[in-house]
Amino acid sequence: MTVNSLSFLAFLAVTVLVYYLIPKKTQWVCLLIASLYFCWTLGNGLLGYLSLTCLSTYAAVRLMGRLDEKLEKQLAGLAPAQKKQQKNVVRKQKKRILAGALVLNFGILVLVKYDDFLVGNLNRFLGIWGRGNLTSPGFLVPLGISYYTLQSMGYALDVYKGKVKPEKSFWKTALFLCFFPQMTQGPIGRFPDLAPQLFAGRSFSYDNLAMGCRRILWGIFKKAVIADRMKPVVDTIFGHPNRYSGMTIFLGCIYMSIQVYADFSAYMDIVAGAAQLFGIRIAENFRRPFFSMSLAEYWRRWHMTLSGWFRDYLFYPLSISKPAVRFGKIGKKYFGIRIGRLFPAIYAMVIVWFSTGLWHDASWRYVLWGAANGAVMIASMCLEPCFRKLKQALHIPEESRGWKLFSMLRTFLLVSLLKVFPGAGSTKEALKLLKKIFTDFGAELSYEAFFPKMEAMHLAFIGVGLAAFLMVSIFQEKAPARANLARKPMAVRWCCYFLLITCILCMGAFEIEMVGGFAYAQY
Amino acid sequence: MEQLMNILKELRPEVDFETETALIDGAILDSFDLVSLIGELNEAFHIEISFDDVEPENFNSAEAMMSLIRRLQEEDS
Amino acid sequence: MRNIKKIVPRIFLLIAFVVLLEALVRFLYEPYDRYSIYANREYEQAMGSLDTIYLGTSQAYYGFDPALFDAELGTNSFNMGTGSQSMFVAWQLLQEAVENNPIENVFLGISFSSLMKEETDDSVLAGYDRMVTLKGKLRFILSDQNGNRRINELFYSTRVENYLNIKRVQKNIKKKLSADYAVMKPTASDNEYSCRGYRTTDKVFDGERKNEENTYYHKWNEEELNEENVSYFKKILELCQEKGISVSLVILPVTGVFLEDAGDVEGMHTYFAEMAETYDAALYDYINIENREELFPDTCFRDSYHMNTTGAQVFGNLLISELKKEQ
Repeated sequence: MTVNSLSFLAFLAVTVLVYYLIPKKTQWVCLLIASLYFCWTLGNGLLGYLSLTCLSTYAAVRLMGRLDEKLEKQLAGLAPAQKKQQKNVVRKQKKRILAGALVLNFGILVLVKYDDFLVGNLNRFLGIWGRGNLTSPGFLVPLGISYYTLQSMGYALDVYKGKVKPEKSFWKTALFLCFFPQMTQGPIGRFPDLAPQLFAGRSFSYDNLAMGCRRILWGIFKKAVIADRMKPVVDTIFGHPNRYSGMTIFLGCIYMSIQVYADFSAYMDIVAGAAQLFGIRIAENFRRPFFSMSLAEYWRRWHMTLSGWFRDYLFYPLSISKPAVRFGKIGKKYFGIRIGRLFPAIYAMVIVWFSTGLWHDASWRYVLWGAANGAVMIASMCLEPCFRKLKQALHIPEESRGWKLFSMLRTFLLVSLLKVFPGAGSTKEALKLLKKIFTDFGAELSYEAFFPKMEAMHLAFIGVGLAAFLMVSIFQEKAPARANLARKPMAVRWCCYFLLITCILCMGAFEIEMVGGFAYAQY
Repeated sequence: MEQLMNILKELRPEVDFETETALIDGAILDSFDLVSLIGELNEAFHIEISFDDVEPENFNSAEAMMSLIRRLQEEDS
Repeated sequence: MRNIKKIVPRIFLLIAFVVLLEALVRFLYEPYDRYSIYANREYEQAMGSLDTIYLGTSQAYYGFDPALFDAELGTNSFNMGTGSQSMFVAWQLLQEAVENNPIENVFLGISFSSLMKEETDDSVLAGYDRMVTLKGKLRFILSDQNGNRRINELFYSTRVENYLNIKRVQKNIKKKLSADYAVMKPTASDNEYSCRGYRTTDKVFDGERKNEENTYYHKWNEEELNEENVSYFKKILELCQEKGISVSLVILPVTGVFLEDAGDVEGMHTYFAEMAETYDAALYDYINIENREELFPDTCFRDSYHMNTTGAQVFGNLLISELKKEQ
């Protein structure tokens, strides 16, 4: 079931009721059963893949934990030199176990998600010798596999680092992996934050219920009135791009940018609200990303759990690894200390952005998209002093509102432009569209060029939705809105609820059919 | 400690490293700063900061960084 | 306990609000002349006494005249045909009818599309609009596999096409507040509504095909039957068999022009003959009969496959005479 359906709301209500009626010690079992049921409804062999990941993760962390326990006992009676040696031995053993778990789980992910991509490219390669006719096994991709794989591997890596002690119970580990609000599109949680909350027992709190329901309502509003209302025009433009000028395509990129944000953040609101009903606070994925003033800042505010995961588990280890250090020395030799100091980071960033692109989808256009993001950030990192000097020379006041607004707009437009890669149907088409935007802009001031095939009434609905969304975002940027809403008098709160419900029912779109119900479920 | 302060000041002159205690958690130092810093610290103090040590607790304040440096130097000797 | 005192009134408040909103939207935006309103009104009045229903697509609601059948056979019947009715919808309508009436006879009007066309949102919603009991509506919603459509069924406000259609709103208010709305019937010219679900028109087919060939669901092909339709079709037959309700499968007449491109028409007869045999039903085929062209000339139809007033009387009388022979 998708989280924007009546069946999910019914399922949630029942689960919450049961959760607070049973003894606190067994509450986590209720969550586990509900999560397993939820995963079962998602089909495509999800439970099978999940069990593999769960078993391998559990085995790996318990083994590593045991090695750590043994090490602690051994270290007691050793001299310092021997201590270091013993630590290294154990570290090597742990590394082998960790590697096994990583290879297995990422292997499953690659096999299931990228089988077509790999076989396709392999065929192209073999085609040079006239042998490119392998068929892909064509595995059905279970929803959420990209997300829970990262979550479980993050846990394994945390245990390896010694940051967290492994959970002894297999079923509790299973709950951490398949907790249903996070199942289809994340957020990718971290064990130290999430696990204690999942396993703790708690009594009913009216405030949690109210806040959770409020957040769910807001999420449904964004999904129905903004995201699903905008989807048709985005599909129209990207479905038949040859009918439209470069300007319309660029507008399509902007619309897609907003639509995907509304869609994904709506999902986040629904699942965060759902988790809050159980008194559980899941990680946030968004922090008003369109208020970012640079692409780097954007990636600290957009899909934060994903970029955080890649930063902590890929970027850092890569950037302090031996090849990075060597690369850094080369950089310092040829480009001087300032740029050379950036080389380890650049080395890591190239790999991280390649992986980020690939994680989204098994296609070259996403790799290009990742590469484009990485290139812009690397360039701005290297050119930072030049920009600073330029700004000083032009007397641009960085703290002024005007400059801030300009930076936000510039970042938003850049992010939107890059959406041409996810929006287009293929790599070739993405490049074609990109070219068209620059060479055939065809600026035209007509309704059809701005909003192809959109009814004026639907445009009005989107306008209302976006205005509300913007207003709430601005309040949130200054102070948490939902807490604010809770502090307002009852009459004001209930007016808001009634208004939202009315807007959802009268302005919401309920015709969109999407796999997994949301845009990011496809990843 | 002085050597550490010099390195930090050179990296980000506008930050008050004497009093700040949320350098990572408060996103005052971003990931690129941290990577550059690790490189500098490794060179200056002849230590090898590994993946295990890259945790917010170890870099949130100058004192935390100093403890990390001392611990790694001890282990090495 | 304190929490329950807080929660329960709030839930009631929310539900009350939604109910009021829905009622208001329906009052303002539901077309006053939607024929299902009248059909439902009559159905509710006749509820508890019906012994015969007619199911099927638009061919059925244009074909079965309850007044004619009741006069000749002494039955108390109702026409539950709806646009592009899928077997799922027919199954829901049947269940509700059987639960609330002493049904003895079911006439299942067979169109080419009955088993071949997959259900569309509009056709399912049109079927939902003919449910009159709360139990029937709930069962319909719970059985509907399409999540979005369930929301449409539950909340009429999600179905309003144009909230800014002020003229329509004004008309609705005026008509619905008028004294005789409770007994008013739609004008025959507008939506052709006659009585008890039966719709009819005096339009005559001019013999010209609208499109070059029949759509795929108007060409009988046993390999391409829609599985869902077939399974609900069997459910209908099984339920009637179980309850001792007599089922008549009636392959409804169409024009010669339509039949030119209608696939394996004889195979269609064989298929339904077999089904009738298996489930103790009767089969009346008005396509594979002798003198089809003489019995059903173009003057009997409003277009290439829907009967008009003349046609419905001809067809009705033919079927009635066969039924009388068997009695």
